[in-house]
Amino acid sequence: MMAHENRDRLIELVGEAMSRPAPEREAYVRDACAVPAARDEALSLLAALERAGGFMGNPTVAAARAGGREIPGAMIGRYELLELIGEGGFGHVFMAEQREPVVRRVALKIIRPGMDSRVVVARFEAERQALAMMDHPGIATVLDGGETESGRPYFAMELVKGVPITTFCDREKMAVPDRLALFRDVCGAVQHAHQKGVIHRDLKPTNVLVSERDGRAQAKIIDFGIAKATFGRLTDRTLFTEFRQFIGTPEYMSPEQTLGTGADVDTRSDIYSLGVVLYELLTGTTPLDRESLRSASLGDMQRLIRETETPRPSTRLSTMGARSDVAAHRRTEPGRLGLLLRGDLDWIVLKALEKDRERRYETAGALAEDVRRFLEDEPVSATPPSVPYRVRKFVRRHRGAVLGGSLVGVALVLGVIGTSAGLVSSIKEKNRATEVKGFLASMLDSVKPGVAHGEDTALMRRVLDEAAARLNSGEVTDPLIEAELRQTIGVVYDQIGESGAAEPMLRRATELRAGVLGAHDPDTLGPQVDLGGVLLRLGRAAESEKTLRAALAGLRSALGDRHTSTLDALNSLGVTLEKQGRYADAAACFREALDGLTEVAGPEEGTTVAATYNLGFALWSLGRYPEAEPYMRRALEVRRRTLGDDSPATLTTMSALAGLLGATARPKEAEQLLLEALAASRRIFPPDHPDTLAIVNNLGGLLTETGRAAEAEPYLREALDGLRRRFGNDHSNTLNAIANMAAPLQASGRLDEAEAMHREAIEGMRRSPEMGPEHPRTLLALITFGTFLRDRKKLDEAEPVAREAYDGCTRVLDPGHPWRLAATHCLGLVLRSRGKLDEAEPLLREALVGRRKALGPNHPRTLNSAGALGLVLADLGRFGDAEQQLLDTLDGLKPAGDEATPWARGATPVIEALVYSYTAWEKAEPGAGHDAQAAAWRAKSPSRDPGGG
Amino acid sequence: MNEERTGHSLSATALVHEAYMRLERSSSTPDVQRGAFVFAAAEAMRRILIEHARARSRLKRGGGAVRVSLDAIGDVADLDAASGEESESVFAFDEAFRRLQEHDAGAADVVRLRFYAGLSVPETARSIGVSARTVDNRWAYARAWMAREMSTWSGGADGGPPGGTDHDGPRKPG
Repeated sequence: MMAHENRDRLIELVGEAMSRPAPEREAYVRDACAVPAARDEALSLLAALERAGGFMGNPTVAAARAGGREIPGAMIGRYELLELIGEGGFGHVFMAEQREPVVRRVALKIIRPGMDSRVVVARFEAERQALAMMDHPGIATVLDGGETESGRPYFAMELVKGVPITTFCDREKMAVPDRLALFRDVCGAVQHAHQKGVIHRDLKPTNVLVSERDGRAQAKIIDFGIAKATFGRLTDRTLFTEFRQFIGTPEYMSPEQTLGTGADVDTRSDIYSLGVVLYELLTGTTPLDRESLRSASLGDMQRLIRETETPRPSTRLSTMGARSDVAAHRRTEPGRLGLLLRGDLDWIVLKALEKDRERRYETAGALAEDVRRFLEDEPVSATPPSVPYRVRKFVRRHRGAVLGGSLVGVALVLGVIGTSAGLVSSIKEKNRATEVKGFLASMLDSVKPGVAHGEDTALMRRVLDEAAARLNSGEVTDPLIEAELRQTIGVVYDQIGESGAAEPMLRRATELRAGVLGAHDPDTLGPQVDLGGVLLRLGRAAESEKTLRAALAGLRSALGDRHTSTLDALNSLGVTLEKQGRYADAAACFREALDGLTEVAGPEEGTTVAATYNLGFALWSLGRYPEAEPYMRRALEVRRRTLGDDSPATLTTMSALAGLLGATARPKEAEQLLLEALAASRRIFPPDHPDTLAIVNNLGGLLTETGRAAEAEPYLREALDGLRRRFGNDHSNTLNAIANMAAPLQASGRLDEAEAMHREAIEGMRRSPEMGPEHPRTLLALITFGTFLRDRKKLDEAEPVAREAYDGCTRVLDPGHPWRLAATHCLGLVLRSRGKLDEAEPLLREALVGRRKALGPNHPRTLNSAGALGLVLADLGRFGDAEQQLLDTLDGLKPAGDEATPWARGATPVIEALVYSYTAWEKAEPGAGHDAQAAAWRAKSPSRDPGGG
Repeated sequence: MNEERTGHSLSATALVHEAYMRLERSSSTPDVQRGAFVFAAAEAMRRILIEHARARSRLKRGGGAVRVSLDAIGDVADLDAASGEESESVFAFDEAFRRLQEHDAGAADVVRLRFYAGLSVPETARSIGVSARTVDNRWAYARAWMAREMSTWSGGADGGPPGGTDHDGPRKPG
């Protein structure tokens, strides 16, 4: 046993030795210690330590990880820690005393360990100059930054005495106008920082400290520049827990900040955070529930922040029910507070909280200015988003999920209802929203997970049916709540393809609203616009148009021409007109809607993109293919990006673009798009969904067009059967499908069946109130039928059909319209077959010239017309003209790119016509060598019936 | 063994949290003395390490010679990450620490504060009221003493040179 003093000497000996470089240690011990026992012991210990390598080698790494606290009394740089005054996920804040060059109290914030403090300090240094330029009474000065002994970054800043702004306002029971005035000061400070190029990035009540000075509340923002230094780019190895600890308060974080890169954050993120603070000042809560954000996974948290519709402050207030303390803290009563918030303050807050930062206030100053306008009873710049617009936006955004998932879908639908309930205007009593909530909660209870499993939209339908039944039983007594629920349920019915069930819902919603708000209130007109769409989908275009025109007129006078609701209704009207074949009128509607919405709602807003798509569609219908395509492509691009590859809107767009590509002879890309869309559509929709059937129909059409009738038949059959089941035999969609079905029947020789199809389609179309005898699609069916009759050699019947088509097209379509040219071509062929060559020749020439222009020289239809003209010229004995025209046509063919390969046979009618012409020429002038020409061209041609199409 | 090797039962972060929470629960009096606080933290950490190691070794009790790789024990997180047979090193370390406490309480206090509580040298010095140099010396002594103790305690099977015989492979300290 060694004596105590000997132990101390031994410890010193080992310690001193260890402070030297390894090779010198043994020599040091031998030198320094003359006592053999102590010397041997020291050497033994040193040897053990050397063998042990890194044993206990880096305890402070653990210390850094372990978050060891700095302790009052400790020196951090030139600051002595006095007292812990705050702590949180970021670390700790101490009151500290600076000794030099001046003695003063500062706040010292020590960041929790876990990040590279050198990086933090370097970032801080980079920001330092900008921080130094800030000089504003509302901003706490950041004085210094550095690294503690244990390797943790710290920041010294002006010591601010005060409490978080929300705490202060509640404690002082500040009324709303006083709160707003204080908030304006905060905006002013943020504006100052932004002008100096400093973004806060972590604005929240605990960073806005308020104290009373000279009887006046004074706010000071702390931590400017610190978030930037400490929010690193998230690396792969950054755990979410750490992320969460650094972020600390996701409820104040802007959607773009959730992406976590930090690179793309600008001053508008601070605007968003200010919006959350304002929300909390007004309602006592944040827009997103603190607890659900805390318990969410990173992905869920991001989604919550980026997708949750922000409830209006006034609505939030009313859904909080009995929390009268919120009002009491604002020296008012719940009802009055709701009234005060409703309207302008709602819109101001919502504008600051726009998910898309482009739509937020551009500056903190602009936000402050709107608050000032409110306080001084001036009109504010923020405007209300319309109720139907928002509900529909929500439904659209979640449609894929709604239809694809089972219980998730139900929850979403109920979420939709919940959201719309949240949008119910709270006029006086708060129990309105409570009532809605109760209703929906009981609905949700009825959907047990076991039942929900695997039932998909059938379940959805059942839930909606049940909700409707309960509404019918008078369970909901408030007419406005009932209206809101009915409108929402109606919209969702329509979205899942149950338009028939939607109609009564929307009609009743309109009546209910009209009863309370009057017939001309924009909220009353909302369900009417929805109804217009529903009627159209039910095949009642005239009613739809009437409803929409009435709603549109009301909205124009109530909200003005440039309001999203007005423009949305205009867009819907365009759809109805398009369906009726009034393409030019439709295009005008879409163009106006598109221009307005681009400006008012933004270019990538759902409604704007819908108008983009619609304009493309209308231009397509107008036969203006090159103009149409960019709109279609733009719509598809935006939808793929913003909604995803398998959202219903994306699929519809793919299908339409494919149709356009098919019409302009690019079948390869078209087919690819259709197959992709079809697979996704079958995945997300129940069988027989109209959207799926439309895609199926388009695919069948494309295959027919490219000569693959056998492949086309099952698709066309599926579309036809499905449409018959869902819409009946008289709906325009069904009638189009009937007309399409004729082609594969004809191709497989079932001519009587094919003829019956043609007749059924045309009869139906003529009778249809939506279409009628002069609808372009009716005329198109006539063209196809005329061609069919000619092919069947029923020439007597063919001529009147072709004439009717031609006359109709001449009346309703522009001269260059592809369908009008098709009618011209068709009539020309029929007349040639009947031997009326003089009449046929100018028609076929007109078709050829028109098609060259409208479709291009390579298009199969153009080549068909060229061939047909060659035939008629040969029939007329104008062999030279025929030869020249046909050879010119072949010369004019552009080199066929890969895309045109399936259409390589397109030149066949021209070659056939050449063979025909040379053969006839040989007969007329034997021995001139025309037979050799005929033989040479015949060798180049696969056999094909000349003059089709 | 592969599963054992990769399956750290607790991450360093989790351990730290647990220590923190235990401490919060056990110290209901707000004015715990600063020094006592740190000592308590160190003690909580030590106990957690043992408990975790016990839990793991119940799950997997390897036979044969106990191998302890001293080189792999850089800090408490390494001890906590030790799995399977390696969890023996936690017991060995704890045993060595307790013997150190009997042997030289002053050196053991430095280990408590530096190793278990993770204080820096100046912090440790202030906490126990000695100079930083003394802390350095005691620390060096304690490490050496414990290293030697552990290699004898575990049946002479020390970890060997860095990157040596441990069949689980050397773990990077830190």
